[in-house]
Amino acid sequence: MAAIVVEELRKSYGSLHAVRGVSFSVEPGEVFGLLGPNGAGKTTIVEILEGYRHRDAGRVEVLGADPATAGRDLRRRVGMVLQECAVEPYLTVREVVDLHRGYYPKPLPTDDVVELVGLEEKAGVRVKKLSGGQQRRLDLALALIGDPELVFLDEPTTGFDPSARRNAWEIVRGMRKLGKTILLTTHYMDEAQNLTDRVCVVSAGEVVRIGTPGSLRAERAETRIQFIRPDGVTVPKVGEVVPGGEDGLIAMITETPTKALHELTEWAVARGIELQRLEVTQPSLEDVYLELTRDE
Amino acid sequence: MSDATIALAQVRAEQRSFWRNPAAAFFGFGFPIMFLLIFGTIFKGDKACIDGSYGAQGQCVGGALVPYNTFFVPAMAAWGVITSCFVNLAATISIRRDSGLLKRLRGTPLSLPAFVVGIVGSALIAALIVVALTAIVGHIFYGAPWPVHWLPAVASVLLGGVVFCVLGLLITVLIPNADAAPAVVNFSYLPILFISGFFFSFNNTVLQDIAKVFPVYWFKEAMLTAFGAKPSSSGWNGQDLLVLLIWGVVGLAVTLRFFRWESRRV
Ligand SMILES: Nc1ncnc2c1ncn2[C@@H]1O[C@H](COP(=O)(O)OP(=O)(O)O)[C@@H](O)[C@H]1O
Ligand SMILES: [Mg+2]
Repeated sequence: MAAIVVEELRKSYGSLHAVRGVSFSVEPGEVFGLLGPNGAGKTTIVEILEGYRHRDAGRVEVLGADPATAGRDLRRRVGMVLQECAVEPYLTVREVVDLHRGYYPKPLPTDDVVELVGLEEKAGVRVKKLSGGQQRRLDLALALIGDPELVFLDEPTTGFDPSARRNAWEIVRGMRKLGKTILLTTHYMDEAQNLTDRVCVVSAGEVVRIGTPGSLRAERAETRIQFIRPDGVTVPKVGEVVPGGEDGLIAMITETPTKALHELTEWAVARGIELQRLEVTQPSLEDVYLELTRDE
Repeated sequence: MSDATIALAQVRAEQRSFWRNPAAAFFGFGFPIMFLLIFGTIFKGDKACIDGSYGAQGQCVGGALVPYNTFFVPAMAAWGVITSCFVNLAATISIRRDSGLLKRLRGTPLSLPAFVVGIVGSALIAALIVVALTAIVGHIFYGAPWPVHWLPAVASVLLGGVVFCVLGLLITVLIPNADAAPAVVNFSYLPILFISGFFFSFNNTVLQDIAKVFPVYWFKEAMLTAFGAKPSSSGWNGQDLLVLLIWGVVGLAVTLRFFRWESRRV
């Protein structure tokens, strides 16, 4: 049975259609990413799944229950990191984790969780004194302390510097190894690529693509061939010519790079021309993402 | 863990937060004690006219004259309960609502009753301490008598405390964001505090009648009676407690209906 099922989900705020018929499902043990620019509707979707917001239409199922009507039983099995949420500032890290530990029937040991998120040196420090990144890691600890089957992470690394982001990724990988199902949202391409088994690209409330990061990249099969335009000759057109990006650079994209490259180099060799800065590149996931979520 | 154990852990955590937060502790305790020291000193040796008002020649009309601090100590104790419960909860809950803390809690299996027992229980502890402190300071420095009727005193503090906690939660419905909390809270009760005669008696039946609509007035009455500032054989005054109870029950119903766990979107 899928851990999360979303079918034809819809949600409007007044006249703003924030979510327009979104469908996807998440398998147990999977790390699933909702990827999209700000305002795409990611938080709305996640908070409907968490039970905070009510949907207008569609079906959702979280661990077999409807979050709109499920009560404490579901919350015992789910951990959440909200996009914005605070912790009691005057308690210490350990006190807060211990307090939350008491809410769950089969919690993990406080020390293990504090260590997993890398806060063992801050365990006795008041929450108020933690940096933003450390507070976010405490959020992760609180999402994990109840040993949940499913964890929601809404932009868990937004505002982090690169090294803090990498630390957070390690934590998420650790959670994955523990067998947790994870639904995370992000607007960072590299985060989706590094962490998720599958991504769902959303833009303006609609699903644009669902697939593994690799399959998304493969979807745009065109390979890019570029080089400095040689003087005084007309270059054969071996692919669709696209903007080269900088002066003197000529770029073409093709779905048959072997053939195109062969034609091009044969032409050049026959004329004794050395193609300066010749490069053959695959489209990056970033390119695919930008193209998929481009505003019309 | 059972719900009772969790509720107890909540009370402990709330108490810790309260005492570690200088602002919360100050608002809970600072003002009533400070006014006790100031007014207690200024009016030491004066008389207060209880339940009456001063006539043209300065005589106490329709009431009884007692030493000022016999009246003032239970009045400040009542104020302390109001600050520890009403003011304290209104402020901390609006801050927690804005910061997303309430929202987070709602995503955990913590039950609503356990959460409420935590905040109310902690506020009641603070209220009992501020009342004790007021009574001790009043007795030692200003010669006010000890509370005459112990059981009614404790019962009034507990009932009044719970009612003012409920009203503190209720007023958060009217507080748009945490920055506005002090203004809304002070505006909602400080004028009533004055017209309810917490500091001195005065001669204006209209204002006195207005005061009698609100629980602040009746709570002060209950405390004066229990402390022995008003003549009473038992220390109980059913009417005071009944009005408080009605405010509490109605307040609870309105709170349950309109309470917001998340800040309004700006
Ligand atoms: N409570 C709300 N009331 C009104 N509009 C909202 C509300 N929440 C989100 N929106 C709007 O819905 C759209 C989607 O928002 P959101 O789900 O937060 O997107 P994301 O998390 O992808 O940035 C945005 O245009 C946002 O302004
Ligand atoms: Mg969001």
